[in-house]
Amino acid sequence: MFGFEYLLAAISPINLGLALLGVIAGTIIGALPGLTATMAVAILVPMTFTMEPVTALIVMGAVYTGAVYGGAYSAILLNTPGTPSAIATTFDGYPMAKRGDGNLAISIACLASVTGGLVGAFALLTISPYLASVALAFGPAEYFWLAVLGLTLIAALSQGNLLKGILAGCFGLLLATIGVAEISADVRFTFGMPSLLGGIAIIPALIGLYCIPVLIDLIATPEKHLNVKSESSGYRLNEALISTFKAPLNVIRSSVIGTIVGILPGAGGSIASLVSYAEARRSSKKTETFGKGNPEGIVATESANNATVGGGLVPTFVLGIPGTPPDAIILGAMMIQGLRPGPSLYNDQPEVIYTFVWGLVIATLLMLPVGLFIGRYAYSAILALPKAFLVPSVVIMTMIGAYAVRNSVTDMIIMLVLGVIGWVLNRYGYSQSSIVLGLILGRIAEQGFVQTWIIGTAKGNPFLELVGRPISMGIIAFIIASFAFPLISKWLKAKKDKDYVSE
Amino acid sequence: MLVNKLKVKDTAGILCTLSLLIIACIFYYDTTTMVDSDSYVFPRAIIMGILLVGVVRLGIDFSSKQTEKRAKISANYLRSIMLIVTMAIGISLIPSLGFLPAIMITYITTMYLAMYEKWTNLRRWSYPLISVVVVTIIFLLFERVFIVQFPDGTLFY
Repeated sequence: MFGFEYLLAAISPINLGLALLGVIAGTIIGALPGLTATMAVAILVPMTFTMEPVTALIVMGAVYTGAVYGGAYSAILLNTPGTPSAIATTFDGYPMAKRGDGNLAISIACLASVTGGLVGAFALLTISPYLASVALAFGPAEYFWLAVLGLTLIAALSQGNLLKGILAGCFGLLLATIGVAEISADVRFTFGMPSLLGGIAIIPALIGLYCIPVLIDLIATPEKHLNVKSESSGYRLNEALISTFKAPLNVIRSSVIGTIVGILPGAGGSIASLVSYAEARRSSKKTETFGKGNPEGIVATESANNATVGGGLVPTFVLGIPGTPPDAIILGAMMIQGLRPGPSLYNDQPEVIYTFVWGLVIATLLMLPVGLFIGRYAYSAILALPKAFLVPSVVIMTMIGAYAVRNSVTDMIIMLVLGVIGWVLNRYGYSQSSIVLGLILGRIAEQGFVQTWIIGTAKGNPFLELVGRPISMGIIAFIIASFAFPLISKWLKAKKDKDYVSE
Repeated sequence: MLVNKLKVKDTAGILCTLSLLIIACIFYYDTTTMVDSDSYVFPRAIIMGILLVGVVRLGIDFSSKQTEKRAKISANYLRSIMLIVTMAIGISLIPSLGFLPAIMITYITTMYLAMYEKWTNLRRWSYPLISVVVVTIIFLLFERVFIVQFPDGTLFY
């Protein structure tokens, strides 16, 4: 069942060496804002043509998993997610780095990523066919409610300013509707500008909303970018281990969420990490410390986004439907190598699939030394770099990163404009994370909503189609419970305190 | 200390809310030209949400006598404004000068803006030199390794 006999093939010197190189390359690419895991895997495809199929898959898997983790570096050190799946890592990672715990945050991110990656890989190894049926059970209505579940995080991100948070989230949702409508193909909100036809790309928006405000504040003062605790140098591995595993339920829950969301085609690491973050926050006893540098937030997001790597490969292998964009590239490379995805893949070509999955496990484990090593030097470099070099280096990285996504100068302008808007709104209590949340989840929510509406209208009851399917009802119940539980527990606590005082 | 706590009214917050309401109205106007209901049903729902929440927010802001604690930042934002202007100019120069010269100019200008240390003789010549090397390396990394197609400037053709 586990294909242990293929483990030896996976750890052959060539596979091991290429997996190591893949993880290093992926981690570095993922750390650069604007270069995504998709781009990292795509660059690699031509190089894999001459390789054995299994070696090619292992290298791509290693680059993919490394790139997803690498996004955490810039999220923690520069408040700029290297990849969209690291958005939620900025919430607690950057505050930790600001107070001098950047090295600890990186070590926690590494441990959580490895754990999440292993959970996803073992799911791929053991229960792929069963999990693939989950992907088929998710229709447009379920996607819509999943997006709504992600949007409930706005409540958490806008502490004390819920109305402003909702306004910012709605602004993000509105930005997501710019361009050609996905269902009707109508041109919307471009105001005569052809450059907006493609809509607002996520990466330039992310770079603008997160990085430009940091640059604006950074250049305005002579103070150092990050604080340093003189007594806390090195990897701080013991502290990281304690922080990561002191709440084992958080790691397990986030990894499972990541695996399941990864299975859903089109959902991806960003939604997985946002949903996991929301759940970690809701179930934590220290809710108020989230967003201010709580390690549990990093654990939740990083374990979830790396779990999507294995999860996303489940429908790719079993159904031939890629779970995430990098999976689509891996699927293409598989077909070039003569592998035919489908339910019988595990029986027809077990030597390729099981060796690849074990290779992915090995690559995930290699991420631990690689990630810690690169992370330590990235942290030291950021600390050591004079401001006169740090600021311009980040500036041109943002410019190149925004441009590289679609080779578009317009994206650079969008990045800059959104950056300034994000700084102003954030300064007056409108969290930029709410805007990003709306922007990312808007497209999924709209597509799910409109498709459900069309299907429901054809069936004669659109409302029932939206709320009446079992999985939808489950997600709706979960959304209601998530909102109700904190309110009820707060009310019970207040009642208890009142009774205690009156006694 | 960078931040001093002061008590001020949330006028800027009100202006932000008003700006969002105006944006929502402009977007709503654009939906009136759409024929297919699939195109406008979702944006209109969001616009209604913005209008509703925005009006409630304004109502609270205007009716409440409470003042909001806001952090007054004593930083020098002239450099920040110069940074944004530099980036805007750098982006606008790309079509005519090409990508490498435009980001080179942006990098060196930003370096001067971000310079808080004293300009020594060594720094005066070494910093610009290092800047040129850094920008060239980053540019070549993206162009040659990550195969990003950068535009050439029309000025040189």
